[in-house]
Amino acid sequence: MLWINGFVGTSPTFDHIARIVASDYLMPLAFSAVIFAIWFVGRDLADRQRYQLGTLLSATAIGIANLVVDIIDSAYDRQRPFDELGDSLQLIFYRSTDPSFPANPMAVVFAVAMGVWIVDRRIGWILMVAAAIYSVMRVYVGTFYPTDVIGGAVIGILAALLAWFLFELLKPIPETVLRILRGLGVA
Amino acid sequence: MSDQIESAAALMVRDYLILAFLVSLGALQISVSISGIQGLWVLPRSNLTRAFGILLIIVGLGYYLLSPLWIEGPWAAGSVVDGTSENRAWGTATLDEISAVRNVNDIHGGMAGTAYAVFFVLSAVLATCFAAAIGTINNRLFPSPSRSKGDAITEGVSKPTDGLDALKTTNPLTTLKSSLRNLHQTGKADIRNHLQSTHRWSIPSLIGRMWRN
Repeated sequence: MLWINGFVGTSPTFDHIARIVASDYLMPLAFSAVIFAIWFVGRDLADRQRYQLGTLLSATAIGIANLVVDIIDSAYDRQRPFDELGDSLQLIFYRSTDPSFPANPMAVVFAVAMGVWIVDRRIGWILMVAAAIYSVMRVYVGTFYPTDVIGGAVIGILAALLAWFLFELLKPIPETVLRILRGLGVA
Repeated sequence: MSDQIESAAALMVRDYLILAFLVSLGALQISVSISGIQGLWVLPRSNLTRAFGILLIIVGLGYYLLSPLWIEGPWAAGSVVDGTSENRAWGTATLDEISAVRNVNDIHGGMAGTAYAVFFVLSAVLATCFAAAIGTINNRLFPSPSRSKGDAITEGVSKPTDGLDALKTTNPLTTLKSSLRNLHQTGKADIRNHLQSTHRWSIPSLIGRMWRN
């Protein structure tokens, strides 16, 4: 943790980039835009349905991941690194007040990345790399421990796999939802 | 102080809605230009639509990141000075603070994670409606040979009559009408087919079998 955060101040330009990448708006917005955009992707109906299931899968995975994080947060209140490490840490982000473990933003972005990976490996891998960079930046700016982001990532990935399993169990409900949305001209 | 936080929250919500709307409209334009869904293009050509989508994303991010230079707000609460998140003076940001200006904790007027998600969904719906409206107008003003006003069959070739596939050849208004008609006519049969073709461990299928037995 301190090793990664120890580079803060070495390059002011990199610190500026890290603050933007680690922000609450940039990466979550980019991931949301991707799952919104893939709704409209696909050469034909079958192909498009696959991508649209990916969007539904990712959205469900986000819900599951948030629920799991909330449950863990209510049972285990790990302090943030800036509260525990004090002056040995260089915080260049705001002081979050919610529990440190597991990292909620990482659970969300990895849930989306895994949800997309299930339907499209190439886009999925790109999102996985982006999610990993986001995680490292969150540790770099001093707002999470590495174990927090690893915990969040594991929860996100498992949430997406659980969502996929639920979709398989609940077949053909997701397909029926898509059929109704197609009837409304939006799928 | 609480009045200031409320103003800060309103400011953050407004700016995020603008950002999310521009980014989702941009992402939509890139996506529909790739998949050829002409009914949602805001410009009449594919490459123009894609370039416009990229431009919208850049403008959205540029506005969100740079507007604190001329708009007063609770900018950079805690992100630049020492991470205290408190007692940051209300005002415009400096160029040196620009990377951190939007990193405001939700208890000091920033937005919570749920708010980001809700406002993105709202923006995405608005962006889709906006693109559909412009697409309809475009279709009326610049009818292209590949985009008819809703004829389902041209020269013996069957065109898709519902959903996004129909938007490749018709405008959003015509697509909505034909999609609803198609849902009414074939929806039940389609859902029945889905149910019959699913695997044996599917819960709805299991319930269906138990019900029949």
